[in-house]
Amino acid sequence: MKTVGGHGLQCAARIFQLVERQGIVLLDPQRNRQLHLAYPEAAVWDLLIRRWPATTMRSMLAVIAGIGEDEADRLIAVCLDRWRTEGWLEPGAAP
Amino acid sequence: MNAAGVDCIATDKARPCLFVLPVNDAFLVCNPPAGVASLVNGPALHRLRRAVGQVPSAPSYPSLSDDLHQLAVLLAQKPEAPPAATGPLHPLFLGLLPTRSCNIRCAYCDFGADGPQAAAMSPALASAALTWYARFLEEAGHGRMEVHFFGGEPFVAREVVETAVHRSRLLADRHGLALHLEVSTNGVFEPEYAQFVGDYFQAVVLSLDGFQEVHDRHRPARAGRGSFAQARQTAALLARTPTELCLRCCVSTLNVHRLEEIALWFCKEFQPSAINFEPLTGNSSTLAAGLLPPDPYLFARQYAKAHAQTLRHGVKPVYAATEGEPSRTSFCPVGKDALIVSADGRISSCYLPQEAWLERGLDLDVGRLDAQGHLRIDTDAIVRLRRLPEDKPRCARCFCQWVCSGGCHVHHTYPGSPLAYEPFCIQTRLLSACRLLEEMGLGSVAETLLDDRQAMEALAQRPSDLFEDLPENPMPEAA
Repeated sequence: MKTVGGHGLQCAARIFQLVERQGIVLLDPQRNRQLHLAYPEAAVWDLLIRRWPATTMRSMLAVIAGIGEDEADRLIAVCLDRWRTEGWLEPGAAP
Repeated sequence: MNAAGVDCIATDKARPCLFVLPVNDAFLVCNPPAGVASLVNGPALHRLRRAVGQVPSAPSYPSLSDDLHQLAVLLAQKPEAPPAATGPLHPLFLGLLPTRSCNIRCAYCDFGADGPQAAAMSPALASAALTWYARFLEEAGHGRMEVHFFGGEPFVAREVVETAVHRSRLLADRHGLALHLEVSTNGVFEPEYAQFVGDYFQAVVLSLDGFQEVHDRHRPARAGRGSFAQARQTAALLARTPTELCLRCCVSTLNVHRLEEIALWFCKEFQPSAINFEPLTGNSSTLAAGLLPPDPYLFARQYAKAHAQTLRHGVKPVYAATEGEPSRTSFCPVGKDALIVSADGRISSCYLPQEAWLERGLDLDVGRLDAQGHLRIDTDAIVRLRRLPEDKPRCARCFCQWVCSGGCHVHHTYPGSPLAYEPFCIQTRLLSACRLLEEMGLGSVAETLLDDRQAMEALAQRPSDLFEDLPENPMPEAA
């Protein structure tokens, strides 16, 4: 089981993603729903599933979004919370 | 000054337009910027020559038949100069050199892999360059944001590449720009990574030097093994993604005989958008590895076969020096305002290592980006580089000056380079003539030319293609 970004979470197995011009679209065919992620949330998702270590992810996101690292931390936390609640991410083993 | 405060005005210098070349037992007369070319026999050329005179500018030529008269008028056109050599800064692209470091050891590498500049670029520096570029494009009214990644091997420095990819996407969205991301890679990375590359880059130029034996001689991995298996696997994986895959094959004496076979294999296995065949550039490393550039006549002949094979499969064949429409700049980024940012913040128009062009007495830097993210463009340098192709003594009488413009400023036509044609010129002259013939529907004439070494030499070695340098009687009237 692969976790993402050292956050103990993983992309739910049923989820597909499409990289589009203006972000990423997550598709959940089982529940017949989709979620469009614009930037900077799209970057959060991609860095998460690419399993960058949490500290590196924070600094990368800060540069990508042009924000401070504290704000990047908050953005990551908000995204993780939402995606976990909505079932796009699910708990996984810690790396 | 334009909106971004960068204004580069260069004067325009006239270039000759009318050329004539021997092709088998006939003559190819052409005016490349006017898009006019014709194959005429000796007597017709003789009559053209007599009617048109030294400077073909007369509005009518009563001594000529209708067909020749029409041709003379077309040839004598004074076309408008191709655009883009003057005016405000208009970068061809923004280039990023995430690192000069590389995970393989190509025998012919002249990109400074693992040299003193092997440090990785900081993501913040890449972001600062991208931020400036996006703002510049919006203010200048340009709609396309084109970012190219070079190396070393860019994917050795993934943190900066991925940061730059996402930063580019965010900025393009914010500034309303159409984004084009392109990367040149050796394809030596784990299979899972190919999905990221294929999803996020609009174009990938992947080096694959044909079949395994030669590829591995050309491009050995660090542990002494070859890099073929991984590069081939990556090409196959990328072929299944949305990216435009361009396969770049370096040609040496080892694989020049098999270009047609290689083209066929590439087309069938990878369905690429383009296949680029480029002859090896010899240097001390290639000599040490026993690799030699191909004979230019043989390269031209073999490339032409590969070209035909590639076209049959709906794939674009590329030999860079003969591509594109007539222009005043070479096919390389230099002179086209390209801004290529190195890890140390230097901005150049050339992706070769600085020491390579300094050795040739060239300064290809055009600006600097400092640690605080302040970017400075040297407009004098931009203008100077735009004018670089104007000062190519070897090219002054060559009909290829309208497309290749002297080729690489560092390797081919550097200041003080010999006036005699070099192998690059020979293959470029032959393939440019073939391109003109094919465009006229005379592919069979091109094939005949490439089958006859003497005819090829007569064309390729001709010291002047200028119409005005034609002897008074190039062929006997009765020929």
